Amino acid sequence: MNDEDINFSLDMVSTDMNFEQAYSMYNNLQQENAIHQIENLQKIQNMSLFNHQINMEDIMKPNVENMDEEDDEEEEEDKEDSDNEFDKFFSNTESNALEKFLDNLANPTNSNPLDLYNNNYSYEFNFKPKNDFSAFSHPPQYQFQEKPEDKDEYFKSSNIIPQQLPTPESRQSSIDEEEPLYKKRKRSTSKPLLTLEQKRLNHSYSEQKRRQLCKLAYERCLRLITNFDNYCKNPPMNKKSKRKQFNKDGLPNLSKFCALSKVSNEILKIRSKNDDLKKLLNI
Amino acid sequence: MSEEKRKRQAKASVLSEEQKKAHHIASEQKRRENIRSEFDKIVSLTPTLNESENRSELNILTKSADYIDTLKSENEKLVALCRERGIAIPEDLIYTGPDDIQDLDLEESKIKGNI
Repeated sequence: MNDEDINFSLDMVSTDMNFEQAYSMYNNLQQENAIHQIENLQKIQNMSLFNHQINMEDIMKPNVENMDEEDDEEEEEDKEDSDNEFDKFFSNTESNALEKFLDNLANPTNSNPLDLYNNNYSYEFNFKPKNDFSAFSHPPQYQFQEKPEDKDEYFKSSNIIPQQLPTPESRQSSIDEEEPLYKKRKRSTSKPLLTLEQKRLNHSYSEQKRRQLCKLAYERCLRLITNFDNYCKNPPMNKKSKRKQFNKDGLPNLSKFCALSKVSNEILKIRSKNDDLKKLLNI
Repeated sequence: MSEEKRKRQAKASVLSEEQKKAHHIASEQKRRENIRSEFDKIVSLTPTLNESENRSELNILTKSADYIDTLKSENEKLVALCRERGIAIPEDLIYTGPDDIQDLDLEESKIKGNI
């Protein structure tokens, strides 16, 4: 395809041409090349992913040389670039795992989240070399660029990508303490990717577990020190304050201090009863 | 009472932000100190808890609840034994569960008054 592109060179300008003629000839050639490249790009968009990656490299070279000519072309190229940026940002294993992870988010299954990874190791060996090739062969092309504003656009487009792609991770980092358990299981898919993050998650998970146990023990105590059934039937009246009768767990809304005092009071109360009974029995 | 409250509020608004903050911190420290002393009390009352466990909330709550359960079943056994031996039992020696709470405010102030 490249053979059809005729690049302008000074050899094509003969001495009998004036500047106007030479310039229009240059412009016509550039326009033809540009149209040709747009056609190529459109063809490529219809191709499969694998062919697409190889052909991209053929197309990109002339494209960069004529970039300052065609604005629409730049847009299309940016789009193609972003696809490549995607490939560069994540290895194939990672992007496949990410896709599966996102699928899993949409349709939660009970399978082990690590399966997302293990299934894909064969893919990694098949595709990675190709991927690496495209990753290394693309950026140097931009060294030929002359216009600084194009460079800016290149950086802009490359800046957008890292913001878009890691969203699952950034969502993971803003963990709510009260998140349900099934979300936690999904979070564990990031284990092979982020060990530090995982450590943090593990830590917060055990901390939540500890708090949950404490809460359950506290609730058990609350039931022991309040006549819970009666309490529910006839909630206490409190005229002085607008204190709620029940806390958010549906248990008597006693302050912690008050509840703990009642625990020791209850112990003392039953113990003294038992001591008196023992006296009666002469034990 | 309401007048007193209003007076207190008026007084509070005179305090500077820093004074308010310091006051708040002091109150919170007092609250935590009270809770801690109650935990210590429970530890001293429960035979299965020793001093080294006085900072483990989970241990204290679990073991004290276990202890209350033990005491309750002990009470039942003793009552049954008395009946077996034909000993008259005063009603107040039979444990029938915790007292009902009539008023939450009253309950709180009653317990605070005990200290």
